[in-house]
Parts: sequence; structure tokens; C-alpha cells
Amino acid sequence: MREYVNSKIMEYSLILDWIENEIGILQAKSVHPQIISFLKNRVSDLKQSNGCLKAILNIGNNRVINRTLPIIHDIEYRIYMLTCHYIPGLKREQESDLFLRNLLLSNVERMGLSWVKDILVRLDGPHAALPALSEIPIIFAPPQQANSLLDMAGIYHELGHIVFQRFKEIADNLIETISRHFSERMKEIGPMRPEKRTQLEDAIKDAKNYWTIERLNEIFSDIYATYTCGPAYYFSCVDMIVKMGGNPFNISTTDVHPPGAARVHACYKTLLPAYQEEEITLLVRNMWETYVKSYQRLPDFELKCADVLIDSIVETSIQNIKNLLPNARRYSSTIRGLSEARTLTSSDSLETILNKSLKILLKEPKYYPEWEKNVFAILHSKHAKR
Amino acid sequence: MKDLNKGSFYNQERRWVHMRDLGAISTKLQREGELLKRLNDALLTLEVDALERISELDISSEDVIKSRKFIIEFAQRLCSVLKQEAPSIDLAPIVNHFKSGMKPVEDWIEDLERLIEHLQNNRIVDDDVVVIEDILSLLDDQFTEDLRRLYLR
Repeated sequence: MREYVNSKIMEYSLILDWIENEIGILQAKSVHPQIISFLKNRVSDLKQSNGCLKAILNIGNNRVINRTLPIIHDIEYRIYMLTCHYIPGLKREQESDLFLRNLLLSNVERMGLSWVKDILVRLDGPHAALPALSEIPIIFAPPQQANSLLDMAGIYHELGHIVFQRFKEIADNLIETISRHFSERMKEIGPMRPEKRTQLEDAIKDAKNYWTIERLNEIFSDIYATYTCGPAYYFSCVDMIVKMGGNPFNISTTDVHPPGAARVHACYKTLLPAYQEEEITLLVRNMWETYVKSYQRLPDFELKCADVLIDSIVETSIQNIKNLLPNARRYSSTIRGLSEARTLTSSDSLETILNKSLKILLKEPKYYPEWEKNVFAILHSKHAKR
Repeated sequence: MKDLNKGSFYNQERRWVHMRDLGAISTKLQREGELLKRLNDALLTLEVDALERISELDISSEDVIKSRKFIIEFAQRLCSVLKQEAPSIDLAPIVNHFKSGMKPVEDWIEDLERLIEHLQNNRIVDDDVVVIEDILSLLDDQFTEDLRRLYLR
């Protein structure tokens, strides 16, 4: 073990020097000073951890040397973030990445993300977020996102991951909600044969355990996205489930995402009541109901994702957003008709633009390409600068 | 002949599946990593203190007191979760492992209570270290399992 730890110390020393050199090159180009500063601090912490490995080896006690493996795993994780995500992201950054970064950054206050100092956008993959460093998160999006609003509402879900990462209490509060729900189900069990009771109790325990931190993170991110982006995200969620196909009531134990039907229900319930009755929402709801009609609600789904449970998750999540992100604005714009949707004003937020986009796309798609082109002409003129 | 297009499509699909999970997995890793690091550091501090070599790791007497307090609070929390089934995401892997293992949960509770008592009296014996090491090993296994999910992207 001693030899192994010694080799790791040398490896980390070399890789940290390389990272430091890369950061120096990026710094010379004056890109993202906030990100550079965070990364420098990160390298300094890593050097300290490597120094700790050296000191442990010098002490030489075998029991103490056992403490090195968790330190090595921690260093590996932190180096992975730098070498596989931040450094390549900064090195490959193009005008299009920067445009979306500027656009998102100009909206973070309204989304309640006041702690975010900078965002590294990588237009080289499907929508995803890497919120490990929540002050300087990485957002991935497909390359066409620099010129297309289609599916852009999906980015709000990724921002939800940044919120979930930032506030540990959200997961704690949601797990309390889940526990309360399943404790009540336990109490409701009436008189029955002992074997049958044990079977039912096990099924309820299993349903409670289904709600892991990853699945809570995913459903919270849907709720956050609908809270801030309104019907545009509700549609985005329906679209995602429908285009991927499959039974939306199917519970997969390997997927970190809850079943599509539970996610869509959560989004719908998050909409303000006024939007639930609005023409576009009704249209999307109708599409969804037509899609799910051919699928059966499975008993496993009824137990793990009952409507009443999802409603409680929505309630807890909204309460947490209100308490922890007091500046996050719940989407509440009204787009009266198609003529209003087609008209852009300088005060339109990104969410309003996305909701206008949805209205035109669903009601008058023939006008959409020209309208979107105009939108990007305006957005590029505002946000394309370094 | 090998269908390269098919291969690349498969790889893109694989990547897509893992990209979707990135946000949730990295948040989980962050939480697990923090707990693992704090508990590992705390045990390291107490062990180095027992060897009377804290200065070599820049550890102060105050750090020793804080580490002892951290382990006591952690063990108390774990005991309470094991006894009352109070919800805890962070401790779920440990609790599930304890409940499905050969050693009865009551014995784990007894070990943890003895550990708390010793630490409250500024003592730590080999058996206490073994208990913390077992818990650390479970936390580390969970952390590296999730880390592998990131690497496999």
C-alpha cells in the first residue's frame, strides 16, 4: 500500500502541475476570471490533500495509512471535474457557447440563482448540468441551441439541479414528505392475514426506498423548471416523454429519473391555476392524455408514484423554492393572443419568449421559422459580446 | 464487415443516457464525498492524536476536540436512525447494509453507544476504530460506485 500511495503522490503532483499550467494559459487569455479563480483555489486544495498523503506516509503507522484510500478517491473525483470538464470546456469555448452563457447569466437573478458567479456552457451534448461547483456550474446543451429556441426550456430543468445541489435541506425536506406519506400508508393497512400483511408492508418499504436522492433531484428539477418557466416547460416535459416512447407508467429501478407520467403530473400540478385552464396548457394536456390512453397504469406505479404523493412532493418543492430562493420569479406572464405572441418587446424575459415560441409553434407553425430568426437577431445583438 | 455507423450510434446513445444522469449523480457524489471526507478526516485526526504526532499533519488541539465532537454526533445520529427509522438520505447506504448484514442491528447500536461513551470520556479503543472503519468502508464503497458511474460516461 505504501508504494501505491507513493506512486499516487507523484502522479497527483505531475497532474496538478499540468492543470496549473493550463489554467495559467487560460488566464492569460482573460477568459472567465471568476471560473479561473475558483479553479486555482481548487488546485490549491488538491495540493493540500496531496501534502496530507505525504505526511501520512511519513508517520508510517499502518492503521493511519488506511486513511489514505478515501483521500485518494476524493482527489480522483476533484481532478476528474477539472480535467474532464472544466479545462476542456474552457479550451473549446466558442462564440456560440459564450452567447448562451451570456443569455443565461443575464437571467440568473430572476431565476433565484443569486450565488452563481459564472456559467460554463458547452454546446456539445444533450441537456445536462454539472453542478458540483455550484457558483460556476457547467451547462451542456446541443449545438443548435445557439440558434434555436426549440427545447430550450429543458435548460431550466438543468438549472434545477444547481438549486438542488446548493441547498441540502431540499432533499431532507422531500425525504420527510416521502416518509410521512408511506407511514400513513402503513397505518391504513386494515386487518388481514399475517403473511399478507408482511407482504404489503414490504411493498410499502420498497416503494419508500424507490425515492432515492437522484430521483428526488430529478423531480425537483422538473418542478423548479415549471415554476420558473411555466407552460413552456410543461410542454417540454411532455414532448421529452412522448418522443422517447415507452410506457410512461413503467418503473425502472435502473433509471435515476422517475417514470414519465409522474414527471408530467408534477409539472402540471406546479403550474399556477390560471395556467392549468389556459388554452395552450389544455392543448398540451390533451396531447398527453391521448398518448397515455394506450398505456395501463401499473399497480407498482400506483404505489410508488400515487398522485397524492406527487402532489405532496410538488407542495414541498414549491415551499422550498419560495423559502430558499426568495428572488426566484414564478412564471406569471400572460400572452393574450397570437398577435401578442408574434410581437417581441424589449422587456420580454427568456421565459416569456419561450412561452411565446410555444404558442406560435402549436397554433401557427408556418410563422415560426421567420419569428425565431427575428428573436435570435435580437438575442445575438444583446448577448453575443465577450 | 463492421458497421461503424451502428457502433457510433450506439456510443452516442450510451453517452446520452449517462449525460442525462450527470446532474443527479454529481449532486449525490458531492453529498457522499463531503460526509466521507469529514468522517475520514475526523478518524485520522484522532488516530494521529493517539500517536502524539498531530503537529506533523498541522492538526491543532482544537481540531482534535472538533473531530471527537463530529464522530460523537455522527454516531448519535446513526443510532437514532437505526432505532427509530428516522429518515436520512446520507445514512441510507449504511442503514440498509446494517439491516441486511449478518451482524444484528442491535449489536451495531451497542457498538455505537459504546463508541459514544468512550469518546465522551476522551478515550478511543481499537474496537471503536474498527466500528468507524467499517462505516467508512461502506461510505467509500458507495462513493466509488457512483464515481465509476461518472467515469463510464
